[in-house]
Amino acid sequence: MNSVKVKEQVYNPTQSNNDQSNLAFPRSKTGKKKQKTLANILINYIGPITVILVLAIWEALYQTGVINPIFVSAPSKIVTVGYDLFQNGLLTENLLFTLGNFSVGFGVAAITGILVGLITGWYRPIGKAFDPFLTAMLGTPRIVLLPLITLWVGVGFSSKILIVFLAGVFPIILNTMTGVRNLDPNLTRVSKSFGASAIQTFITVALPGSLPQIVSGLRVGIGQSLVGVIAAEMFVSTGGIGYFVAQSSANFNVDRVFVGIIVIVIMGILITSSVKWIESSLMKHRVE
Amino acid sequence: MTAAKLHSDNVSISYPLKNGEEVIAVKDFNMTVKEKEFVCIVGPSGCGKSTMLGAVAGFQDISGGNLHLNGKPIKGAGRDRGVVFQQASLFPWRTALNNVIYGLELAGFPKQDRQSKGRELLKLVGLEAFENHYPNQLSGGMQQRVNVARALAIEPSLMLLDEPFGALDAQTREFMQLELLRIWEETKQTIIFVTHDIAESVYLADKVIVMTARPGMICEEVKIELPRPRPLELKRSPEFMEYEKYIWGLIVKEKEKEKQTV
Repeated sequence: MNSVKVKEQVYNPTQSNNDQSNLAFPRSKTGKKKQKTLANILINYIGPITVILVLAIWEALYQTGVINPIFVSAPSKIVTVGYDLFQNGLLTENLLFTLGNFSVGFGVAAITGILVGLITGWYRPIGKAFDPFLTAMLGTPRIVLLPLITLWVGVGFSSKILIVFLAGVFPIILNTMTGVRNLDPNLTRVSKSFGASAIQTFITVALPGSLPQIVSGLRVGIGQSLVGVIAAEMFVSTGGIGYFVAQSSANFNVDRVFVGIIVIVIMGILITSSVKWIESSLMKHRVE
Repeated sequence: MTAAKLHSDNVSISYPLKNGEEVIAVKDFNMTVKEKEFVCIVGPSGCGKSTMLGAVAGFQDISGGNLHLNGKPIKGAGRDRGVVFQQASLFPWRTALNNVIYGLELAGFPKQDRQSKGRELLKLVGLEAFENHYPNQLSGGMQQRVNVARALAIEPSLMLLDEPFGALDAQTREFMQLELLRIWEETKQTIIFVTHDIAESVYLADKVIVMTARPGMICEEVKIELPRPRPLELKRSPEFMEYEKYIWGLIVKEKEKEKQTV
């Protein structure tokens, strides 16, 4: 789960070059060096190689006229059209619009979700009262609420933020709540034995103890919020990447559709990997 | 004569079951622990020894009798007692040092003070080189050393250890017993130590309280008059084995009685 970087960080503590430290670090770092054969290189880079291969075949099919340019774009077209769109600012403008909607909505969802999750997890009766709503909301694609939200707040900024919020908040609540409920009772007892008040136990045990689940809730929430923002923009918006894709599709501009999709994919990857980074820096103690 | 530190007078502990019946876990428990005394409670599993320790720690309400620490009745957990728990109970997200100073943090000691105190204790338990290690980077024995240091940090008036070495391998356990005696002598603590290991109790204690199960009662209090300091070789001496055999006999006798009544 953790990256190699984290392992190195923990496996090279500054002060542990004495004999004793071997007790704590039973795994030796001096493994056999792998031979650099062609087969090994292929296996190591099988992911990127496959991607390049697929792109090449795609481009070839396009260039030879096997695929219809009205329905499918090509890698080279995506790059050139994408570059132009960045140059004239259209893509950046839409991207900023989407990121704005997303970060406000998700930011509020993260804060609310963690707070509500901590409270519902800590106080069982409140959690039980919340359970039916949580279950109902988690099982439902929240985008179904979009018509209702549009009816209430119109098609402006707030409708998209609300959808992003609703899409992200429930998985965060559920994960945080589960994390707090499944705390090791031993650790709670330890804090009690040291005379901790309820609030101290909450801060020193419940919060750090449920951090792994909070982070995984954030990760699920981010994915769902991204779906929310794009879908909302496709249906009720006059801006954003989702709108750009829907609009381009309506105009039969398939190259632009592909550019939009690629931008969304990259955005998703970047945001998700930023969570992973936060995760590994918060949980240094979790060495596999 | 030093005054009694902990005084247990006819303490009984019972749990209500779901069907309304009561289970008596501990009955008529009378014990006196003196200042700087090392007392072991030994008995088979399910004899209520850990429950009794829980009552002293303040996790467990007593249903009868009196339980006094330093002349005051025990009500709830508190920093005047340092508990070393059975299983791995270190905070996995805290380094060794930050685990040790946990109690000081709660008590609101300034950062400088608690760090120097924490380092001092890590040194006492022989882990000064490991202050930045997380629990999962430490061996079982090291983890229990940190656990002992954490309990010592709050300078409790009484240390309570609940089978702290139960999960360790035999060699590590013996070594930890030796270490605990050294720490006890250095810190001049008062200790109640719960175990099911008869040899462990004889080796450590000034006084072994032998318990029997169902209901958990004291069957005998055995004074261990072996000289201190006690090297590990003492365990092979005839006097030691005599004590061990005697306590073993007490437990077996009770087991046999139990069989007859069932």
